[in-house]
Amino acid sequence: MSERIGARDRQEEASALKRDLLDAGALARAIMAGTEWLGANKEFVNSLNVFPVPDGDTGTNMHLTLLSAVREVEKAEGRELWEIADAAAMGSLMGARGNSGVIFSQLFRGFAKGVEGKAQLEPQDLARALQSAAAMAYKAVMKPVEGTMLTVAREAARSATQCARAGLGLRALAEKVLEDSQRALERTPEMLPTLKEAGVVDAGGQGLVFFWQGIVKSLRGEVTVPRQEPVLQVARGGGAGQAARQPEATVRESLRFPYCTELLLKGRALPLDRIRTELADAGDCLLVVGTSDVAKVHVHTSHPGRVLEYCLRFGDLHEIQINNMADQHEEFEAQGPAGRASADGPSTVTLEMERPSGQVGTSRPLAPGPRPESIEKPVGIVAVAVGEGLATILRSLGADVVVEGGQTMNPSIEELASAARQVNAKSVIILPNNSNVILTADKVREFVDKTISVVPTKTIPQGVAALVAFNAAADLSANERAMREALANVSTGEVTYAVRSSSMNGFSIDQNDIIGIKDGEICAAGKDRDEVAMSLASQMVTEESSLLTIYYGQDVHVSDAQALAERLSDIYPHCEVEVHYGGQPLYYYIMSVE
Amino acid sequence: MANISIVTDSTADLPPHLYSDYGITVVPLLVHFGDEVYRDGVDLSSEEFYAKLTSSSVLPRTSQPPPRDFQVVYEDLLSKSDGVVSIHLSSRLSGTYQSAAIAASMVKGGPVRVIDGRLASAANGLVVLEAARMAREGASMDDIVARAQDLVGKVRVFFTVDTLEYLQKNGRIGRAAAFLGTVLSIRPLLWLQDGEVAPYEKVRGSRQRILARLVAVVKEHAPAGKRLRAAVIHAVSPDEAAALKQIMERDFPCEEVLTATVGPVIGCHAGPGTMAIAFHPVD
Repeated sequence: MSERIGARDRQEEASALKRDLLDAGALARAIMAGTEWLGANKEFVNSLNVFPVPDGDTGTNMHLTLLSAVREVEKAEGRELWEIADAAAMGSLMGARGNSGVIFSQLFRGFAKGVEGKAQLEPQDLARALQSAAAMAYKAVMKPVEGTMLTVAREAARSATQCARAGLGLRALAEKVLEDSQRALERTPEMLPTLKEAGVVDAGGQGLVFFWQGIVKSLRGEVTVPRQEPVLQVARGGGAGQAARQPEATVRESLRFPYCTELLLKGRALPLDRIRTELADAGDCLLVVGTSDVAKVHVHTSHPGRVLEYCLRFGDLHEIQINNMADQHEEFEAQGPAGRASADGPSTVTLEMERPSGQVGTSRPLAPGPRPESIEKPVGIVAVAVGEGLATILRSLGADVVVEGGQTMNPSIEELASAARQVNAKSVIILPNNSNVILTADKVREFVDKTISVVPTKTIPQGVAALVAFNAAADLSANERAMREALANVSTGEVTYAVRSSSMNGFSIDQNDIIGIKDGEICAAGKDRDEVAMSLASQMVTEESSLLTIYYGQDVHVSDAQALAERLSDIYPHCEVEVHYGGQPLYYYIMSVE
Repeated sequence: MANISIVTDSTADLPPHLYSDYGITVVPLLVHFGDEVYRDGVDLSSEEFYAKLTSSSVLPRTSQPPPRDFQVVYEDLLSKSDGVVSIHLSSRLSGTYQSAAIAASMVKGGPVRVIDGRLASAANGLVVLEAARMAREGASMDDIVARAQDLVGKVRVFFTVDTLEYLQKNGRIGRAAAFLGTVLSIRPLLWLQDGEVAPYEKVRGSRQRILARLVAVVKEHAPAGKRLRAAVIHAVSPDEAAALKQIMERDFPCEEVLTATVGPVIGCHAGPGTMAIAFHPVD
């Protein structure tokens, strides 16, 4: 932004403010100041982004939209106030990015409509324009959702109207509107479950609050409006552009409190209001939001340690993040535009105490997901298996709890019942994965106050097939049906040794002979483990088979299992062969053919 | 005879010659690689995009066209025709529909009807193409809108992706999130349901297995005895797409099977290796 709206305008503006009139220059400066402050805080806004789509770019989108508005506003310099408003509306409409940007463009459009033909605004006019802005945004959105920036915009307009009626001047009105917007923002998690689950306030709403905060800061004279030309990067027609640069003043301003400190506080009956009041002096940009069980605390402070110590009084700290914003600023300068997209460089200290499920590898430090156990599922699963490899596989396929047990060590009813109780779901499917466990599993429903369904899997491969057919979004009966159907398509082979001499299915078997069992029937016997496995496989694979899976046990070396797999895939080229570590005792190999 | 203009957005992923043959106006979404911004299909072709996708260190992002882009197109078309029917990517996947609807509320000079396609890629393209066919025959605005809305409910699209990573990172994974994180090699078979990505089933094993299953699922869902219009949609695997097109033509009474490429915007969210079959009964 430029010196073009310079000292002379500022003087005029000051005198206009005294008369309590907002003129064209003041409006332009307000839009610029809001844009800058939002720009300075856009990474924070990005990190809150969970609704409607958790793609983490709300802050960037809003900021780019506003920069486009500012560009048009600058072009309209020297024109009437209503023309400035029109310019902002047109600019944001041209540059609208993302949902939040589009909504912002509608706020400007409504605002412009509300100030049509006006050269100056009295507090009542400003209130009316803000009402018009909120109304336009509500109208433009297909399905307005409460708990979003729409709510914040409406509450801001309501607050402005009340202030104007009460005869407040512009500056006092702006302060009060900021306060009420902030309050509306803090209520967003109560209105929108997605936010509450993630423990955040609405990103778009936060963006709007930052925008308004920027305006108030400029009115207070806290931000000496800086003057760098923002460059909107658009590579239309090819070629990279340049990112908008962070204004000096905002960086310097926040450096009074250089440590951006954030954490998730978990406890019981957290006194949010008290924490908010008591932390108010710790720095600025304070944000305490959440529920009585979990709260997100964000503050820029010069003493992060004190903030942590203070919060410890109320509960456990999670996802602690302390950034030195001075470093960030230097990195920003050093990296230039390209490196800025992800501003968490070496200065970021992340002490993660828990990582929400489903977020492996992606760093979303400020938007903690819900704890896995904290969300009730429609249907949970308890599976039985022995062998760490098999347990891992079953869990990765969606089993909530894997109870240890199998051929020689059947789990008790109580073990299964306790596992079923442990699962956070009203309906629980049990996969016995062994014929000797099915009856035990059937008894569990007498001991657990949940709907229990047993899908009678007799083998691990059947359990795997059942889990693959499981659909977490479907209900119990649909899942039970799909899982039972899946059992029909899988054939199981097991290679183990005979515990005693016997004669069965025409095989005379000595103790410790290797035997191959296909779907419960002995169909191969011999002295060599891998030969028995080959013979067993030959009786399982058909023309239609397309996938043979081998789970090798704790007594088999990985290289032996792989050699077996190679022999099999040479013989059955139409069939894909997969090898996985099962880690099960007694059974050298468990095989499945689909 | 009415003279109605058809508008869609760049995610309809129809072969470019169809747009010019039928006089369909395409408004591009934007693709961002870091600070570089490209207009989908204008500054960035599918081939360029996938080459960039695998070489770029930043995950590309997409954004809906600003309302103003639609407004300009609508005003231009209204000066030359009696009305505009504008058909777009599912509102549950993108704000494109929202931008178009805002623009429609701002234009003067003629009627603009904006339709939430509740589909994506060439599945939506099938609806656009049918509307364009009707427009060319001089159908009325009401008839075109009614048929398009009817088709939106009838088009089915099943697809698989090589990895769920792209859908997840871009927040478009929807209910298919349940498919994440398995030890065994499991491939997701997905569909669009109620305008968003939903899991259909999981398939273990190789790509061949899931492509076979894709065809089998189409068989289960194709209305018996009806002629179909279909599209095989691929993210740069033309050979597989050609094979699937042959199977579609052999096994189904198809009036037409289009081959379409997943364009940059949908490609951002689905990733390379995506393969889809979309279809609807002709009547």
